[in-house]
Amino acid sequence: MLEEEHIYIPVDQSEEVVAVPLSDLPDDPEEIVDVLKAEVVPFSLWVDFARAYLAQDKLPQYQKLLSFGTLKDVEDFYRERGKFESIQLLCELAATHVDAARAESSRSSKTERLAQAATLLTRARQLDYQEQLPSIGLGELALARDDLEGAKREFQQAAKHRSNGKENVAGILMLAKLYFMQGHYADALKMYKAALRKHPGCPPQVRLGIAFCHFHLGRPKLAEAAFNRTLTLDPFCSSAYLGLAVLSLNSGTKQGHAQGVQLLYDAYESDPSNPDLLALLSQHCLVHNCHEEARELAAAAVKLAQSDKQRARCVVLEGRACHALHGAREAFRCYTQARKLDAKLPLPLYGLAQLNLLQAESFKTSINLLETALQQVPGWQDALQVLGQLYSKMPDKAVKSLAKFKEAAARLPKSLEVWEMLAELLATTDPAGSLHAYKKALDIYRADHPAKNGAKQDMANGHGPSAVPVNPKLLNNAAVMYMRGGNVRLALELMEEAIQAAASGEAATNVTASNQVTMGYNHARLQESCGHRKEAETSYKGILAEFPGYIDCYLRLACLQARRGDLEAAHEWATKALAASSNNPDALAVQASLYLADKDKSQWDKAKEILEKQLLGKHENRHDAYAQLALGNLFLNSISHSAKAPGTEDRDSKQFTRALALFKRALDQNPGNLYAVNGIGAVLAEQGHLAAAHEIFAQVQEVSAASEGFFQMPEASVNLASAALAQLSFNPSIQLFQSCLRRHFHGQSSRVLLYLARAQYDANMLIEAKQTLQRAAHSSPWDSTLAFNLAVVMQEYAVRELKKERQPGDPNKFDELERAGTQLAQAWRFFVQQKSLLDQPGKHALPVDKKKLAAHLAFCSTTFKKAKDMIASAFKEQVSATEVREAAQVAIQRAAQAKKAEAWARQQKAEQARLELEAAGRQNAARLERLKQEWRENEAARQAAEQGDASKVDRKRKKDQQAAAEEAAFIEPDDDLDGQEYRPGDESDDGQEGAPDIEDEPEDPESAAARLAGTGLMSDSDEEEAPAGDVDRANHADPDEAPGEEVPAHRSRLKRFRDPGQQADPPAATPLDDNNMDDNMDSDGQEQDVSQAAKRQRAALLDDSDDE
Amino acid sequence: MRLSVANKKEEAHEDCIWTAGWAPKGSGYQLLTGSVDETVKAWSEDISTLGTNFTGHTLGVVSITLHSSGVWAGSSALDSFIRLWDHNNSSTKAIIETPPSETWQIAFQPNVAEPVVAAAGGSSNKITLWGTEPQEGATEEKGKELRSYLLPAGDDKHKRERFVMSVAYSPDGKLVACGTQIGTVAIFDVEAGKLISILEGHYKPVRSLTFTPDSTMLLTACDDMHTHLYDVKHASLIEAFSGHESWVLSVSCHPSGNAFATGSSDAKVKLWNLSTRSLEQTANEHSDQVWGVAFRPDGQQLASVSDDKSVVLYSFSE
Repeated sequence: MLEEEHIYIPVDQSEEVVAVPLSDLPDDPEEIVDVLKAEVVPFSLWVDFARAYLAQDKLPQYQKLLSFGTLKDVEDFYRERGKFESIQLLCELAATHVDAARAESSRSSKTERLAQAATLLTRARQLDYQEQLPSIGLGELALARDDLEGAKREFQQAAKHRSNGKENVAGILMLAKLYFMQGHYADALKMYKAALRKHPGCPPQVRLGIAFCHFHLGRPKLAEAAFNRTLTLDPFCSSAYLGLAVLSLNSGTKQGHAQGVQLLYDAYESDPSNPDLLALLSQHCLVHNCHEEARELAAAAVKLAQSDKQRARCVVLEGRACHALHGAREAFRCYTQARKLDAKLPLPLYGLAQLNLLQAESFKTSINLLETALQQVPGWQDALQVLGQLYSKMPDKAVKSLAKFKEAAARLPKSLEVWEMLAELLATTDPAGSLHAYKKALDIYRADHPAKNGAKQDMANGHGPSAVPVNPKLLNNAAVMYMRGGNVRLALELMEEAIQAAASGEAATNVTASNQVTMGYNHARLQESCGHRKEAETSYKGILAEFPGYIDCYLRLACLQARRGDLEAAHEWATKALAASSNNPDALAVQASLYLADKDKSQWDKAKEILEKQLLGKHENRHDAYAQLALGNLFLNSISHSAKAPGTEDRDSKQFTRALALFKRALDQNPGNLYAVNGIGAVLAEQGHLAAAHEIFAQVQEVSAASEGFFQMPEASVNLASAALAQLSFNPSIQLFQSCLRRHFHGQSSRVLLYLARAQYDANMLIEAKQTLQRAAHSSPWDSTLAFNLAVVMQEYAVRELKKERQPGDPNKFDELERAGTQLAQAWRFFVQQKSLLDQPGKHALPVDKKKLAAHLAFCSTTFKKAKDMIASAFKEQVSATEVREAAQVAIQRAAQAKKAEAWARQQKAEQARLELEAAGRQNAARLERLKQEWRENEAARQAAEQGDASKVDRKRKKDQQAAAEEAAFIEPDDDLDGQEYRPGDESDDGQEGAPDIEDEPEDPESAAARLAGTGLMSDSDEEEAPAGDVDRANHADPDEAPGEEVPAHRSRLKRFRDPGQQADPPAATPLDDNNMDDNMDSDGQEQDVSQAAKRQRAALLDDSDDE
Repeated sequence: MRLSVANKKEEAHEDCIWTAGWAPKGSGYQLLTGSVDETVKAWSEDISTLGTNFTGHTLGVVSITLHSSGVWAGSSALDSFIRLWDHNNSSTKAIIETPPSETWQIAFQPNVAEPVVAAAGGSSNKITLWGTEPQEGATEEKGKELRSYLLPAGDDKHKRERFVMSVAYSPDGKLVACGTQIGTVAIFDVEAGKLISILEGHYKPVRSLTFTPDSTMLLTACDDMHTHLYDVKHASLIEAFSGHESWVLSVSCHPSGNAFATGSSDAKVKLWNLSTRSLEQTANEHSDQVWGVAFRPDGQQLASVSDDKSVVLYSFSE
């Protein structure tokens, strides 16, 4: 009824019609409504006029007309003749509400609109329950409420119902659309096919649906057929062209690609207004670097886009094109707009992040943007890669966000790049995590490059290119990380593979000449760590012959020489390094460490000068962590414990302050610097804050233990043990020293062994202390401190044995005393030897002074004389005791035999008596029986009672006798034994009468102290011993020979806190860089002496500066 | 060439084992091991059974030496006492007392009938030769200093720290060498008593040295983690063997002269080929410092002893 130009209104009660031109519809639909009402037109005209407004995009008028049409009175008027039209009007009005609700942003008005739609639809349904339209409307409503299940129910209803009494496939198609939306392409396809069967002449869009279903189900042939069929029905269907183009492009062949592009152009020719098509074309142009065309197509697509989502995608394309055309501002605008249109789209975030970087704005913004994008698309590799590089520039931010990055990596278990990047990111902050990531990356790499069979691998490569190219960088960096973790052998293998890979030609373009050299250096460094020092030396020299500026090689050669003990040669190499690069901080640091390694402490001043003036004194080196730590230790170490002169306290406290300041600075620069923390602990310990120091050392050790071998901190363990000892927790201290020796020192550090011995001595474990000192002396027989302490322990052991209180008649007495005598004699010999060494000119390296030694000697010799007497008398005693014991034994035996005989005789007698009594008793009983018999016979009760009593008395007596006999058999011999046993005991007491004389002095603390005070020994050592509360120990010196001073007990023990260099080993700060192969080659953590520790970290620092 | 483990004795001593030596017994051998537990134990050829312990030392046993007569064994301890005994019955023959720190390793002079023992003189800066003489009122003989080989005075800086640690005779008996704490290796002419040469190259303690069977070369084990091979005649370094990851504590040369073994603080025993001058094998049987390695005089077996208290016996094959 809807004409091209006019709608004709039949005039009521006449044949006339009024033509209303569509171009001239009144702005106010009320005018139309009045006419419609007045002329009582067929209800369908209402619908026609409404749609006319809609066709002209006059939505308010459309809506208004619908509202009038759905008023109750109108509805009632047409009740009989226009039920279907009523339903139509209601459903269309409801649809306008649903559309409005979709566009509504406020939740409450949205709900309100949807409620209105629901009311209208319910009214429509009540008019005719078999009508299809309300079901479709209710389905749409459910969709708007995101209630997919509800929508499905309604659409299924609709598919069953008819529209205005006729069959209509609309319901089925709605259902198909729903399935398609849900991604249930097979179900959708079924619906489309059903629709086609019911209505073979249905619009070509149904075939398009079928085509897209096939496309999504991965049936390109069927999809292609359906697209073609669509095109035969509708030659201008651009969506079909688009589908065919995509199919061709996806074919993967060159021909297909060309065909696809051609199809796109065809589609564009036929319909230049399909936004999807334009977007695809734009993308195609972008890929082929036709940025200008891409921009134009995208801009056109933006204008045509039908939804915000679609528009956002098109705007991003436009932005990318602008971006590529260096229109940063324009691109920025596009990305921002796209982000506003669809906040969930990740591409604009990525683009904005890139632009931020281009404009050198803060990394932080970019990182945030990328992180948001990654939330939308977890595991987006491009974003991860940019993010990874940003993290490496912003370590602080990275630490916080790395967890997310790790999560993302976990989603990409096959991505070598992401895992490699994660490994590089973690290298500085979490080396153990980094190593795990490298292992993962290597696993992925190994799928294409099996380990250890380089030759075979080359052959395998001959069959075809592997998916993963050889990657010398990965191998190199993983090798470095393995080395830092202590697995030098595996590291060496990887390094060799890396060099092979670099030389394979496959990756040659990536490996620059400088990278090759770096790999050569790393290889040599690993050879060195694996003990192949000769080969390493040759390699270093070889590199230097070609590249005389490779400072690390000079420095490693210096370290190799120093490690061999040839400091002179080491200095020569360090000098050469400085000649090649004057004021090179690493070379200076090595030089300082070589001076610190010198046994001649006067060289330390030279070290101090280098550290203070040439390193920390220069602006560019003022943050050198090694210099800070080494100098801090030097200050700490220069606090002389032996200085007794007044006024040194001031100097000392100054030194403490300076050391502390240096450690703090190092820690400020790198909060993960365990060595600085350890240094602070040492200062605290030296100042007497033992509990705090203990806490610090414990934490350092914990961190070090948790690092899976990356931070080896033997000094922290030693310090922890020492702090425990100073706090008098002997057993924990002993255990700590022992595990520390085992784990870090190959059991060979005489210094730690000495500390352990001290702990054992303090814990009263003299025998163990002696064994420990023997092991130390065996390692370092030239060390007179060890010999002296061994002598002291032996002396102490002897004295304790000599004055030990013994049970009278102790059978071990003689043996023990004899052993004590031997030990005392040994101690004396050692003291004599020390004295003779002291007397020789030029031998000043002794731990004791003459006075003290003389006291020990005097004490030993007097005690020894007395001990000799004791031993002699003990020997006599033992002999006589043996004789007496033997005699006693015989006597006991005899007595026992006699007693036994006697007892036996007595027993026999008693037995006989018993037998007699029993016999008598039996006779009595017989008599009783007889008498009873008589009684019974005679009836004489009284007489019978008297007889019974008598028999009882008899039996009791018999019992007593038996007990007496038993007692005689056991008790008497016991008495005898005791008596005899006591006698030799008494004698031994007598025999010992001489002993108290001998032991008198050592046993009486006061007199002993007084005597020793006279010799000066007391003043030397007693203040150390006093806190332990054992005055006796003061008499016999102590193993840890700290010269006396007025300090608390721990002071002497704290010598061990101060070892310059040894504690100075900052973790290598090793920034990783894509272009830098020489990431970080720090040296091993196993070296023992001062120079080694210093060197080690030198090497670590070297590698940082290796970027050239 | 190859070492294969023939037997292993855990807890062979109560404490760390520091030294080992092979003594002839009957038609075969017995292994003597010395420990910080102050005893020397005698083991059957396959180390499965224990013979008579030798006791008498009052501090840890540092070194053991065997006399070519097949009767005498000698041992030195931390207290610088040297004890000579008959290893067939463990009876003490002589006690030589030297001042503490003036005896470390000892070695019997080869090819002489009477027992003459050379002692690395520790802090005395010399090698001392000791004989024995009877002493009144005792069954054991006592020591008699026969002569000494004095190391030349070094510069002042090194003098006081030059502790003589190791000593070895050349198998032909003509030369005696010693190694010191600061790496000095000196060779003396035994008869003439004069210094022949000082071998350069070590700067750290040389704890063990041994001549090759033909007496032309000397092997030294050093804390610098290297074993050096020197040409005796030219006093020159032929080869430096690196491979241990800590101090090399002990070296023993195979009687064929084709191989030698080293023990180290890294708990490893390494077998080296002297002809090709390369590492042949690394044995990881021990868990702590290996203080002693000793080839049996017939070359068929090698014994190693360690701080882990165990003794390991290896069969050697060319």
